Parts: sequence; C-alpha cells; structure tokens
Amino acid sequence: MTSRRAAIVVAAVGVAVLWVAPSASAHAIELVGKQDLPIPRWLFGWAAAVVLAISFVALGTLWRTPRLTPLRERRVARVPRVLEPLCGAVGLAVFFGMLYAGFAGRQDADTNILPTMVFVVFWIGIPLLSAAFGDIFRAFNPWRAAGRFVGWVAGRVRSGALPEPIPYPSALGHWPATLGIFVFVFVELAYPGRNDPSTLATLALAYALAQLLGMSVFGVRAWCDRADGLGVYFGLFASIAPLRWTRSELRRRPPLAGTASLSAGVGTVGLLSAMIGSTSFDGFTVSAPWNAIAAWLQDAYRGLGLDALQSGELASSTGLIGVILVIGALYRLGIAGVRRVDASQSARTLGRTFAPSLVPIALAYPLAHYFGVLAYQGQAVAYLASDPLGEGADLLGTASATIDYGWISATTIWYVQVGALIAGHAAALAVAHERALVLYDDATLAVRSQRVMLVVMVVFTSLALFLLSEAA
Amino acid sequence: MVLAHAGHWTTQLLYVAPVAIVVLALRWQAWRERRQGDAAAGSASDPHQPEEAQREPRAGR
Repeated sequence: MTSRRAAIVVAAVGVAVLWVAPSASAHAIELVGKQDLPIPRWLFGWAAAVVLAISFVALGTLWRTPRLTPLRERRVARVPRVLEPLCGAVGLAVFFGMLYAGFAGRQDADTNILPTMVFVVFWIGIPLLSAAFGDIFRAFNPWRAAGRFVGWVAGRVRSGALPEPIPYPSALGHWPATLGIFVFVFVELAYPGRNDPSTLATLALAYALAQLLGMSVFGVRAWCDRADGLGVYFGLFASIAPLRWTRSELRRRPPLAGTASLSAGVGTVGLLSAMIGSTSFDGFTVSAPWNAIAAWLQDAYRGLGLDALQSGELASSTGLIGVILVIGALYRLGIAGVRRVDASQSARTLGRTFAPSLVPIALAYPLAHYFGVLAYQGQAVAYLASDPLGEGADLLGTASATIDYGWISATTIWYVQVGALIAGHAAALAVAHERALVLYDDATLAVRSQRVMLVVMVVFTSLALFLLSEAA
Repeated sequence: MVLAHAGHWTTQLLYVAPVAIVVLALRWQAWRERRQGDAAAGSASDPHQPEEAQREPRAGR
C-alpha cells in the first residue's frame, strides 16, 4: 500500500470514527448556561464551509502574487538590553514560586494555584498572548534564562573561552519538541495524576532539567529554537503576531507574515499534528464512540495483565496517538492533492513547504475548544494568586474573589468559538496560498494545487464544530 | 435501532454535508477543466479537420 493510500485509509476511518459520535456527555467545565442560538449548530458548519469556499475563490482571484514574503518588517521601538535578563529573572521567580506551591501547598487542584497556572494560564493563555504580541514566552522562559545565566557565570568564572557546544543534529529537527508537547498533552489528557500539584511540580522540574541538559550539550540557542517543546510551541503561535521581538528592537510586520516565512524542517508536521490532534482528542473523549473504544481497549490491556488504572491510561494514550495520526493523515491527503499538480517534488518536501499553514489551525483549535475554560476558570487566578498554597492566606487582598459566570454568556462563547475556527482556517488557506504562489510563481497553478487542501480545511472546520457542538 | 436514533445520525450527516458538497464541486470543476483541455487538444491536433476551421475567425467574416 502506498503512503498516500495509507493516509486516505487512516484519515477516512479516523474521521468516520470521530464523526459517528452520538450525543455525548458534556465537558463539565463548559456546562455553564445554555446556548440560545437562532439557528441549529450544524448550520454554523455550513456557514463556515461557505466562508472557506468564498475565501478560497477570493484568494485565487484577488491574491495573485506573494504579499507576505519576503518578510518586510519595520522597527517600532528600541528595547533596552536589560529587559531580557529582567524578564528571565521574573520567569525564573514565577517558575520557582509555582514549584514551591506545587510541593508545599495544599494537594488540591481547586485551591492550589499550580494546576490552574499550568493548564489554563500557561497552556491556553500564553498561545493567545503570543499570537497577539509576539514571542513573549522566549523572554520569560525560565529554563532558557537559567541556561543563559549559567553560561554567563561560567564565562566569567572560567579563564579562557568555553568549549563550543555540539552542533545540533539536523536529523533531530523538531522531534524532541514534538516529544515534549506529546508528554505535556499526555499528562493533560491521559495521566491520572494530572490534578495532583506535587506530581505536576515534579514533572515541571523534570522538564526544566531535561531542557538544561539539552542546552548544555547543544547550546542554548540551538536547543531552544528547535527542541524545547513549549518554547517551539509558543514560538509557532508567535509567528502569527504582527510584532517580533529581538534583543534590541521591537519590529512590526503584517499579521501571518511570520507564519508564511517559517521554514519547517524535520518533525514540524509531526509537532503540528500533535498540537491539533491533542485538542481534537480532548473533544473526542466526551463522545459515546470513545467510551466504547476505550472500554474495548481497556479490556484488551487488562488481558495483558495491566490493572484498571494502567489500562485506562494506556487506552487514553492509544486514543491520543490515534487522533494525532488521523490529523497527520488528513494533512497528508492535502499534500497528495498538491502532488497531483506537482509530482516533481516528494510528499515530504511538499509537506514541509505547506506545514506553516497548520499553525493558524493549531491556534484556532485550542482557542475554540478551551475558550470557555479560559473565560471562567481563568478568573480563578485572582483568588489563587492571593492564596497560592490554598492555606487561607490573602497576600493580595483578592482571596475572597469568585468566578463570575455571568460576565459572558454561553451563546457568546459559542460565537467566539465559531469565529475562531473560521478565522483560523481562512488564515490557514491564506498561508497555504502564499506558499503555493512562492513555490509555483503562477497564480492558476497555485490555486489548483490547493483544491484538496480546501477540502481538508473544510473537514478540519466541520470536525471541530461537530466536536464542539457535542461538548456544548 | 438505527431508525430510533435517526435524530442523532441525521444531524451528524448534516455536519458532513459541506465536505461532500465541496468535494463534489471540486471534482466537477476538475472534470470540466479536463474536458475543456481535451477539446482544445483535440481541435488543435485533429488532422481531418479542414485547415480553415482550425483558424481563428477573422473580424468582418
């Protein structure tokens, strides 16, 4: 079986399984209020498909030459050199503060600040801030700050130049980052101890130590640019932003220009598939087919001698990997469509060329899926910050604050979710179109190469809306 | 059983419908382009067609 046929089979079976989900139990945290929609939810799927089709036609007729590349930037402001080490120090302080809360605080996910900081502020909030304001995490990245600080101190203490780091193997590419993100989403979605603050703190510490080890071998820059999963994850979202931070300047550029100029390498498609697939899996887990599949998998794993907890964990991991593979196969189908127009390049090369088009989708999926969590649970930071250990302190005078479930209605959240999905996929089409224009230097050929990709985008949008509607 | 749950799966089909419509529209577009391409290639290479018929019609004729 050719890889294209394999992709078709995996994508078709996977999408069918994901889609044949009869009404499901709802995500507890998103069950706030009732949506009051003027039209059925499925009609939003139709509207989204129409918007994407119109966007595709508009791109083909109005966007005939590359507009985003080569990247054109203008300096907006000078940035004091002291800002970066200062931000790094703040990042380190927050990191150690969170570790302390995790180890020393009350071992309860509702009253200890660590789980909310990790799964709401860090995992959902920073991608949004990155897409709006650029790669702010890079400046605050605690392990990067620690690595740079250690390098600076070693340079001062040691007489003579420090030994050069080993060149980062190009064959590794983004695979270490993919592994890092996979471990994170595994903890978030499949690991039973995810809400235990001390376990989270241990995992965070282990991650930071692994990054420091990588930096010490391959150098801070090479490691952070390609192998630090969280750094790469936020950096990809930052490519969407109209701002780019350098050590000495803040630069302005058209939105998405950074994404269109991204150079994808080994493992980038895997990383982006993991990013989109993990969110899809989270939506899928509330469906009845998943319950049936999970029960079947657990029985199979129990037959191998595993206990109930281990088999449940392994079943979730299998599902997570399966959905990531389905997302990868769907993208591979889009690339097969490009190859029908241009068979001169390998699927791997084309896959990397068009990989940046997945970045806006990778942002739209979690934004749509977790917006409700951010809107409500995000408010918990107000009282958790005042009592981070959950032991009755009131450091900021906001310990008595509560979550206001009335500030945004369930209907508005639905509209934000739909808007995010449509905007994300339209942006993905635009990035793919731009890359095709650069590659082929012919607008007609560029449009023809992207037809199957349009189908893939419509599948992604409809699937996301379907999973959201099941959770609503 | 299938009919009893028709309310669920018909709604699910409605989510799939846009994908099917886009696929059909693109296949139709590809078929039309192929047909136009075949017609153009056929008229350019048909040796039995009179030479005059292959020429572009001139203004005033």
